[in-house]
Amino acid sequence: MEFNKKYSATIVDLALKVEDYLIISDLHLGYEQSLNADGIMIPRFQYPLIIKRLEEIQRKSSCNNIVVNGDLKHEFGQISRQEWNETQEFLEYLKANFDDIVLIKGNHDNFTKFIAEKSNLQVEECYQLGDSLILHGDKIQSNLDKADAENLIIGHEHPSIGIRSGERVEKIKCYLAGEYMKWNLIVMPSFNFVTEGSDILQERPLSPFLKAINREDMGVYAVENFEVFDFGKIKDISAVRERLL
Amino acid sequence: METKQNNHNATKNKKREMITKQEKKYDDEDIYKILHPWIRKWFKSQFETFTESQRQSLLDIHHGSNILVSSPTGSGKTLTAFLSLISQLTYMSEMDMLEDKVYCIYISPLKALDNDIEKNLEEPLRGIEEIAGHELGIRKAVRTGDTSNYQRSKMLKNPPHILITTPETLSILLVAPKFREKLMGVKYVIVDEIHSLADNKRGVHMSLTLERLQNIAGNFTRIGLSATVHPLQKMAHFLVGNQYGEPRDCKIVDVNYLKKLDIEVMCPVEDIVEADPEETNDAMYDMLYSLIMEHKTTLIFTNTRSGTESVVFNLKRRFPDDFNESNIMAHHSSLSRELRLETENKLKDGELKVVVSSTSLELGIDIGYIDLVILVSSPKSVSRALQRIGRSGHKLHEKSKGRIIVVDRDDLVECSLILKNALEGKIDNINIPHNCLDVLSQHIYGMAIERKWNIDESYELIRNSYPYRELSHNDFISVLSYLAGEYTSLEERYVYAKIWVDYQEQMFGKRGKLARMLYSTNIGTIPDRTAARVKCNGQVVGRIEEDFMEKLQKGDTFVLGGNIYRFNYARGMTVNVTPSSGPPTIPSWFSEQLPLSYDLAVDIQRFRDIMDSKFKMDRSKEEIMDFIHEYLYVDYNSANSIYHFFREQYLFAQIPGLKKLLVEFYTGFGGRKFVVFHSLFGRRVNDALSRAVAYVIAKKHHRDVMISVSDNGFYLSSDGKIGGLEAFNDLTPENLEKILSRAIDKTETLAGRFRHCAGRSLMILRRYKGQEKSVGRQQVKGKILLKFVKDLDDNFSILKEARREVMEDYMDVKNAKKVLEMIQSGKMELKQINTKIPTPFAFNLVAQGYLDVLKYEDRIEFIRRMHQAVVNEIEGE
Repeated sequence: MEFNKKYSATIVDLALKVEDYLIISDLHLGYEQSLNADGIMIPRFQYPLIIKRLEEIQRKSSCNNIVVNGDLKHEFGQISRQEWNETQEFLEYLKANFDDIVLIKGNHDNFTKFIAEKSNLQVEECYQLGDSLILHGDKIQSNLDKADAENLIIGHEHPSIGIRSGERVEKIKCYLAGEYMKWNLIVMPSFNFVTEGSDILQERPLSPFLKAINREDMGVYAVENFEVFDFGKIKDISAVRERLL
Repeated sequence: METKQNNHNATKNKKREMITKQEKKYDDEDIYKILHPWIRKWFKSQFETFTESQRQSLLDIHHGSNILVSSPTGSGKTLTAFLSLISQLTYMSEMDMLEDKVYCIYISPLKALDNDIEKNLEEPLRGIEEIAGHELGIRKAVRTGDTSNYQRSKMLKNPPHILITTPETLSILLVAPKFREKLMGVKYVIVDEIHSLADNKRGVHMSLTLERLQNIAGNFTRIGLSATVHPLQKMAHFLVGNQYGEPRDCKIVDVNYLKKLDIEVMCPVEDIVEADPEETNDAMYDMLYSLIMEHKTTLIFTNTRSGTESVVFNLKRRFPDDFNESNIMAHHSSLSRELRLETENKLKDGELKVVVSSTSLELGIDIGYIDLVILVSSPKSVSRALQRIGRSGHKLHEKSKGRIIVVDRDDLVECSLILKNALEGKIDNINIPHNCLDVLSQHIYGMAIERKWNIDESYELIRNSYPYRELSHNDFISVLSYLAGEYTSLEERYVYAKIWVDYQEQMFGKRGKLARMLYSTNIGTIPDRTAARVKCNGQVVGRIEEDFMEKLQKGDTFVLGGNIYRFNYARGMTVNVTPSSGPPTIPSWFSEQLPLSYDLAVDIQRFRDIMDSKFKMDRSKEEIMDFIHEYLYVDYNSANSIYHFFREQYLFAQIPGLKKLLVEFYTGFGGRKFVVFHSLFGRRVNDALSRAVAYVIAKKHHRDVMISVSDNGFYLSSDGKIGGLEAFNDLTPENLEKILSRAIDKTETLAGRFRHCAGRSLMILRRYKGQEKSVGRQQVKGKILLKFVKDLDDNFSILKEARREVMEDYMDVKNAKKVLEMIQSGKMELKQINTKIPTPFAFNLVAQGYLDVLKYEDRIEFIRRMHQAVVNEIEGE
């Protein structure tokens, strides 16, 4: 696939494969608890789904290392024992199944550091893998210029594409691929099962990387249960959606 | 004593009639005998004699019988309900026996009505005190959500003898630790405007509240006050409920025949079939203008809030010399309370010439003297028409004057049938929702807060309530299980369980310290809806409902306040639009429109059958015109329009009716296939039928099917092959419910209703840990919840309730089954025709956009197909 050649990364469902590393992003563990605090009494349900999907991805990609590109934890206020447990359980799962584990700090990760320490893991600002620099994307690091990389891989945005036929609307998670200054830019979808994310055709971007560029030329690669759909460029979809979507 | 030995045997053999029509009528002497002398004196100083409804009910109320009084405005209903009670309280006061407790609870659906009643009680109480020469110490107080903490604590110290409240507040009082003790001696409960509660979940909720009250207070007398509804027996049963599996006793007083009606259907133009919409619209405003000018105060009803706004706007614009802010006002539920109150007060003071309302002024709040009610287009049911028109002419023997102005040809036929049925006293059947598991959840939680319960004892109590009289044990247990948090893992349960259930001991009770607070701040059945503000160039141009906002996508156009706008984006609860033109891509009527009642629909079809046979028998124009004029009580203008409308349809194709369901195939713009079903059974029935038929078709052809539903029929359309007749043949009265429940599974309607049900079941809490949760935030997450619940258990009680609500309350699966029975038995034949342009009867139907899509394809199939379509389109650029 084109994507593969240009960005030296392969899409494996909700994870990116770079060398023998899997990159996943925006898991937002403990999201249910924050729903509870909002008065929505939904019990914990996505943890087993996440593990199941990750196992499948690892099996298909046969990678032995993993990068969690930020927002491992969906965090608001103090952490309850339950939430500590869930995050730690996940980190222990990673340790049992991967050799190298890299955690990158996201904007929700103010406490992740402490949990990670318990598992003897560090939380990094960013991580370089071959010619790719992996960073969460909630802010543009001031020393980014010095980075010796061709590709930037970010999360944070939770991109998805809303497609419509008549009254039916379905949102699908997607990757975005384009350019930011001198770099190739890849935006990853979120690795969680609570929401599809924000519709890139409808909503305004969150990440300063996306705010800074002309998004019209970005390529859209939608993923649904291991199938990848190359939708072309945002501007092309916009042009035909009036008639079609 | 009336009980004699031989009577006993008679009741054993013959089932005792428990709900009976009141046959007795008492004369002044009999009634005066039961009243305290001071009250007698006061009454004589105020009135010549008793009204008919008082004559038929006061003695029975005095003796503690339950009673349902159905009477028009001006029949002295406040005194009917309260006179006997005031008399008894006066006796007690005289003998210094008045205790610090509540003797009577008055419940009404509206706070405004509560305040009116309190004022109305002021006068007799003061009058009686004047005669007595001293204060009686009879206390009354209004208690609603608006009552301040200070007033509440005052009420606890000195409880009102007459408590005036709303259904929701009463159910909160039942768990108030100290105040509930004051309710233990309640002797009377009066439910005002009971008809407006019975047909929705508020009434279901109240019905359980009354049973819970009865459990702590013992037997009390139930007095229901209702507008004209049919059948009154059902309403009475709803009021009193069951005991030991049988209805409690109730007498029905019906004095509606006393009020004379002066109703006419008016057609603004000579021939509404020929006239173009603009001409009709102009003529309608001229007609409104002259009607208003001929009367002192006119009340105009439209069916929608946007309609209300547009009538006010147009009257002011077209007749600026006569109408301005000071003498014409709107009154509908989206307006602020202050604004509505201002309108009501101005009306009472006679300052307004015209007030325009949607449904908010239907109920009996005091609005002073109205001498004319105008209905702009069909009110969709006979009872609604009567109720609206009944707002005019206040004294009992004064006629109620109503004019129904029709806006198009379908409307003309519909309104004419309403007129006929209103004059002939044929009123639509009411529909009372039953076995609502969400409302039940709330109440079981409330009961658990009151005390520990034996499971069977509580089941018994719940089944005394009319809507739950047939509640299955399984459904009851499924609600207990949900409340006990059994859908979550054991270690998490402490967060989710609201009650504990001990199946061994057969007991349940509340869990958690916050239970009472949680209950009191979250109960009720009216879903939180927030309207989003619509902004155009920085100006707020109106509001749209959240359900509607959810459907909008960038580029969509829709109508608001008579203008067309293009949707750009939404941020929070603000929607940004720019002015646009051309037909709207999303119809805006569906969320607001009132559905046509089934009974009325059937009568319209009967009329169609008669007309069909007249044409077939080659009757002359004069003959048919005379027939229409006589049968429908309409003038010759209207008769002429109706004649032409039917003749066109007859000549062009065929006249559908109850004997013949016409199925019209036609190919529309761009080769799109349409199938129009002329099933005039009202929108609720058609909603059910259309989705079931669409499901059968979609399944066969693996393609999404567009559905558009109206009162007069429905159409299906698809970009692929579409069959119609054979799909209808696959449906039977037996399999309808099953197919329909699959058909609605992926709809927005189910998702939306599920969210409301989850709110009522307290799975989504409006207020939690002292904070109010914004609807906007919860709305997105309601969808997640539905997805989660479906994965969890397809028979989860809240999901089951959401499906029931969609199929039975929002749609009308029961009558849809009847239609299928008619087809199956051969009483109604299916007739297929092919047309190049839609027939006259189909015209209004196809003119509206589609309503929903029946999603048949799996998500992945849908994505693959749409992806291919997008790629092809891009390559074709």
